[in-house]
Amino acid sequence: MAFQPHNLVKNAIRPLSFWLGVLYVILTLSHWLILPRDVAPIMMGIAGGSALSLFTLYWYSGQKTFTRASVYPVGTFIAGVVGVNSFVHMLLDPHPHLSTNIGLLIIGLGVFMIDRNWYLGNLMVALIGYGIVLGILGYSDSWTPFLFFILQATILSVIANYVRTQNAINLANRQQEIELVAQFAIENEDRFRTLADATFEGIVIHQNGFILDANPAFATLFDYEIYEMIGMSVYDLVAPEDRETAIANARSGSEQMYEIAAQKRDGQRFIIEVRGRMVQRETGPIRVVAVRDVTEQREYERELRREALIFENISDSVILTDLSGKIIDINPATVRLFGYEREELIGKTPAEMWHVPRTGVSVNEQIIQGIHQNGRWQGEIEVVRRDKVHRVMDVTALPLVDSDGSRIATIGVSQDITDRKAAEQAMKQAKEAAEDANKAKTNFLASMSHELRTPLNAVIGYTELIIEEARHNKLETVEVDAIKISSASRHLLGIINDILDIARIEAGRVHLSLTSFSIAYLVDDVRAAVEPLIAKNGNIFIMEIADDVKKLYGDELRVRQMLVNLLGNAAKFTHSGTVSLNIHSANRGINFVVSDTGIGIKEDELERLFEAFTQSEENSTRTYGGTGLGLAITRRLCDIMGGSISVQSEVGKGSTFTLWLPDIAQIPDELTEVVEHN
Amino acid sequence: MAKILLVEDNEMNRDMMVRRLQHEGHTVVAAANGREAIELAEKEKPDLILMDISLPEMDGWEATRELKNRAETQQIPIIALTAHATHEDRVKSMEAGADAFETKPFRMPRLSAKIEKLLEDNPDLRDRYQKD
Repeated sequence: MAFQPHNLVKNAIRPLSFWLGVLYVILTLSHWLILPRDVAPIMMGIAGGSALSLFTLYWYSGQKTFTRASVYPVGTFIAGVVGVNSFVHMLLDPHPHLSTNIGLLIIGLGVFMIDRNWYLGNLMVALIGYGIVLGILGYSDSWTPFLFFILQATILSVIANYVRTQNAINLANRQQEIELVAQFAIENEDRFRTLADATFEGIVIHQNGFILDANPAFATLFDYEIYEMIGMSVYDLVAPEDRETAIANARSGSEQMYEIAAQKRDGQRFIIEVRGRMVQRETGPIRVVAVRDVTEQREYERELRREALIFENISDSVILTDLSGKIIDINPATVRLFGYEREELIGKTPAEMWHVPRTGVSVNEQIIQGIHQNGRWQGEIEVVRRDKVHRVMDVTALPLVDSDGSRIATIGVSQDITDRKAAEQAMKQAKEAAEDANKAKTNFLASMSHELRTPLNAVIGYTELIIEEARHNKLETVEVDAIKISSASRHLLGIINDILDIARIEAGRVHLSLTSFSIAYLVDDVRAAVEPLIAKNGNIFIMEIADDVKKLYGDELRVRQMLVNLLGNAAKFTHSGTVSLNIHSANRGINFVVSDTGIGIKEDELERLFEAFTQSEENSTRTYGGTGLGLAITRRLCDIMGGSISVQSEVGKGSTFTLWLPDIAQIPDELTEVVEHN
Repeated sequence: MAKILLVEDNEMNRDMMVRRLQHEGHTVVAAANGREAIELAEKEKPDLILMDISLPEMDGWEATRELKNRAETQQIPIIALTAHATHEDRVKSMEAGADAFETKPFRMPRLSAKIEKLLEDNPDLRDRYQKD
């Protein structure tokens, strides 16, 4: 530790003076006790010095208690007075006087002044004053004491001067230092404030969670004004689920960086990266926290991870090529699809690796042109794998652009569609084969129909001639037989017609001629056709048409066909009973209800009733005749027109068929033919 | 009654039809194929033609088109009479220019009604037809 003159005063002169003072008091008292003369001046000196020192003490320090720091100046003062006085008194002037004591008082004051770093001039004044007093009053019997005082004063002056000078220097240094520090502190605060204001990171200072200050970046981040944030709980800015984490970090004084979810004024959430540090202040520990919004960064990272995941795991080949067409990067699927290892491909072009040479514009050129013109290229490329197997790839090539829009690479996504194409081809062929077969079947049916009709035409025609001639010649037996031939022939014709009909319906080649027609006319026509059949088995025909039934839009001939079929069946399977036709409007259409009191249909046969080539009983064809196609055709025609048909029956009681047709037939366009109606 | 040109390649059917039409009171000339039909139509100037479709050398559709294209025969009504009973056959016949369509085997009353109607529509024939 450097020598400090100030310390000399404090540590040496003061105690020394103090104890000298004590010694003086003892000596004086003993002196007074032994030689009790001139008591008054001594007492006055002591009392005066003490009073002055107490006053000084009070004035100087303002302290109410006597500590070492406050007692020492007093001691020093007393020492200044009595120390020197005792020397003089004892050694030089055995009979001190009042004036001597006054002089000593002045010297003591001087010493006190020295101690208090007062100016040397004061001391000199005191010394000179003392010398003058002695000299003028002539109390001294010689100049010796005067010279001694001068010497003493000079020594004290030199010491005092030195001490004072050093103290002054120290003081000056200290003040300058204080000023510098203060200046520095001001500048520092400015600088830090500027720094904090300018930084993009949010900075917040809080004590026990209460915000003391924040920088603009922090306030902006949370959508507050700075003044609004002062005094707020910093944890209100943290998403509820992360508050505990934030509190724990702040409490522990951790300086680790961590991430939590934060919330803005409006509750909008984002992710922040937080790092705090505890700082000690007179008012207690405060925490300075730096906060950064990392939401975008995290999202970007997530996106990158996602993209990387796709790139790594997608079953399609992904190839990145530079502008010269050289492969920069590939994904694992590329290795699987082409059979080449990654190392073999980097730096090569797809064209030299696997493109099958083509005449005309190369695939590469096509891709470059496509990207240039349309921003992308999509097409099929035939490639050769490393194992020499040819595959067809469906390739989409896209430009990879920089943030400024300039193309930096090409990304090609390829999918092996060889198998798919083969399957499509097979399916196409199968479909064509099926269509061909269907066409062949239709053609066969058409020609069969023609081939059957031609001889049948002759049979029927000649039979008619025979009937005419037999009638003409009154050959009754011949006429009856010929009529049977005719009947059988017409039945055969009916079968041929039905087979052709159902084949065409099933092939979707039935054509409907749509017109709006009168139900009344239709019913007259139907009645004429079925009445003979109904009457044949001794049945009664009842017909009811509701008043609101007027017209229907559909294929008149087909509707007639359906009704004749249903009524024909009813007539056929009913004997001496009733066959009825009830027509009424129902649900935006018309219900045609055909009921009979015939033999009925067994429940298990009801299901198969509308299928082709089914009749109620296996042998009923023989018993009742018919092709067994009538209901199948009726059902299919009904379906085509958008209608419905249902049946209720009880064996032995009869059957009821309900045919519903919409007012306006709903038919696929290709089956429709609208007929002009006159 | 009317003079009818019957075009039919099947001999049996032709014979039967000729006789039945004659029984109805018509005068019948018969042709066995399309080409013959055109020749006879020009030569005989029939009041009506019954045209089979499946014919050797020139089928009924082509013959019908041909007859309808010629000035001297185009006014003669043609009934397509065929064992081809499908919708397409009907449409094709009408497109070729036939005035009516009937399927084989035919019913005489129905065919007669069509013949009568077509003859009635022809003003030249009407008087004669109605007189008879």
